[in-house]
Amino acid sequence: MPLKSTPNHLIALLYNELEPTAKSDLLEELSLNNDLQQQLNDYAETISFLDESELDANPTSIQLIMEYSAKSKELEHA
Amino acid sequence: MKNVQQISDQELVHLYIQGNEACLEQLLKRHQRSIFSAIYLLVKNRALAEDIFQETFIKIIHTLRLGNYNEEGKFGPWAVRIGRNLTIDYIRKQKRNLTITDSDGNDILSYIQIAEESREDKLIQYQTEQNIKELVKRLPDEQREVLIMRHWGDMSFKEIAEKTGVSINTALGRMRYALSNLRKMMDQQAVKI
Repeated sequence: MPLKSTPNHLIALLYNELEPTAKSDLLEELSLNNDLQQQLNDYAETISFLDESELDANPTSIQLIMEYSAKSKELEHA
Repeated sequence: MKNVQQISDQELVHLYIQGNEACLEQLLKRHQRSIFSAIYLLVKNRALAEDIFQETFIKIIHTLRLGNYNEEGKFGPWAVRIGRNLTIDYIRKQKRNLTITDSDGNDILSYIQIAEESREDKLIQYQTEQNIKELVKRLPDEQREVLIMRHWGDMSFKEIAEKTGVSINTALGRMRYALSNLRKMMDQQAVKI
């Protein structure tokens, strides 16, 4: 059976941006195609790795922003 | 009154404008990671990213207080766009202003940047949790841009396509190549997923 979905559909599925009909077609294909399922798993694992990466701003930056906000508010009302 | 954690971004913005500072703190908590990541992955320098991150929020504070915010319900992507634009402005200024050449006509700044990067690289090598930053940096620009905008910038592929002037399918394809390339690099470096 020829595939209706393209590899790009896998990405759209993982980011929840696939239209309902295309999603339904893709889910059906995934249930019949182990290679496609493996491809989806690989992308999902990489995305999960991105989710776990620590790219937080330093707490000092957060504190400085809060202080700036409070001070500038005081000046506005002075 | 609801706990700030249960309040939508839109409500937090309105309450902050009315003077509730705790609402800004909550907006920071929710979005600092995506904003900071978007900045860091472009400038590739922690200290500089912190400066631009602070500048981003100063601009956000002013925009909110002046009543010029009109992106209802889209605070996150809007804030990431501000951070990204400030970063791009900074990079453009650097390129324009700092071209000091040596006797052979080479840009001296490039030596300094290389030296800083290698020192930073060495530190990062010892911090396995930071591996992803290194891998993302190595992606081609077009792939890195889509990855940052979608994953940390919370922009839809449609918005990315409009912003970068390509079709949605091209944006999706770039994201797919970015993920595939990251996967390959992780396998090569035996990064544990």
